[in-house]
Amino acid sequence: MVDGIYNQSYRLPNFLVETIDTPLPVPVYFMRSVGSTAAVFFWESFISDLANRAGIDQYTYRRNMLSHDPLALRVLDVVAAAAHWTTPPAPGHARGISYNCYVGRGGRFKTYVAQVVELAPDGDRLVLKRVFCAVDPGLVINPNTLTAQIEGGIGFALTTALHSRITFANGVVEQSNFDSYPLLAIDEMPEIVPLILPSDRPPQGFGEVVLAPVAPAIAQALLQATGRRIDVMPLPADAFRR
Amino acid sequence: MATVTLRINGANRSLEVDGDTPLLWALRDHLKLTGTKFGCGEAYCGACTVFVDGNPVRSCSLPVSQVGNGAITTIEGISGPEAAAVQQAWIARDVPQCGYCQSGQIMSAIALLKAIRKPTDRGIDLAMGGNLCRCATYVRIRAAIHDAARALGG
Repeated sequence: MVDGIYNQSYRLPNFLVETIDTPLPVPVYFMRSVGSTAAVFFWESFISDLANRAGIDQYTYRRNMLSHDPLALRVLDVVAAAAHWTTPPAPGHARGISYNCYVGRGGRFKTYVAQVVELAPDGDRLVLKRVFCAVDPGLVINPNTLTAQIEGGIGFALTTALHSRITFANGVVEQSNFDSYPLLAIDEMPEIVPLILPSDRPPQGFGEVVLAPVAPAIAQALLQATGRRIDVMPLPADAFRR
Repeated sequence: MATVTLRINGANRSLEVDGDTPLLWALRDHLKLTGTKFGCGEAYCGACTVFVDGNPVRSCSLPVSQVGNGAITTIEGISGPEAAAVQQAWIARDVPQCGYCQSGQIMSAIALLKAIRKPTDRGIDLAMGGNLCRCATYVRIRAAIHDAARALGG
């Protein structure tokens, strides 16, 4: 429920996380990324809000609050450099940056992830063109498989970020098949730029780690491009209106 | 129940089924051709794609009574230069992850390359848009189709 928040990485002198169990009328269970997709969407969006409130660049703000953690800085710096973050995007385009250190299996592994998403105009809409993803998963045994997890994990996260809406009527779920509960299709799949960092750490976990930063990075880019602040998932389709 | 004769992968096969049985279940349950997959049952996802007279169709939504004399090709029966190029590209790119949708992806990719020798990204999106992949192997599907097109001289 609070994966990625209670164990978040930013240096915050006063930090307290409390949770309250809320009985739900429907059973909920794990999905890929466990709690981090929902929690990090809130958390990274909150960090984005703080940066905007402070009037500080999103990359610089995160960097300042991660200065105690060289591995965190490394993924952030690599993704920002690859995406030419310090060069402003072309007119009509927008970028968002996000970070998460995925702490998995009760603290047994830590995988560092930073992403930059690029939105581009397409008619009267913004579309996701490219995602840069820097990862430090420890020693990489099979870079091909790892790259596949970066590509597929971001695509999986995009289904959640853009499409996966469940609604209820008269006690039952209204969605029943892919017409009402779509998956991401190939025409929505952005270009992926994987950035795999060398590491002497033992191999860490990777199957779920790239998912959580996707949605908050898109929301941050949308805010920059349209002035609309989105705090619900799936991101509403009209949020991508130019 | 009726005796239905289907031309599948170059051979006539007779089976006892109701005429409204979807071709998918005739293939999978009666003929044990399980390479063709059930995904959604309503032609939204493309996992069940086979060829009828060379055209990709969703076998989950095609009653066997409507197949007639159409020549059916399943993933088990693909052949020819496009099929070989697609198979080799799929292996070289390590496209599949869980693999469930990949029979349908490969059938649609072969059909695309038979129709268009050198598809653009947009052309690939249009031709492959009905084949969903929960693992989102789309980056490699696109790359493998371009590779196969190059191998075919497109």
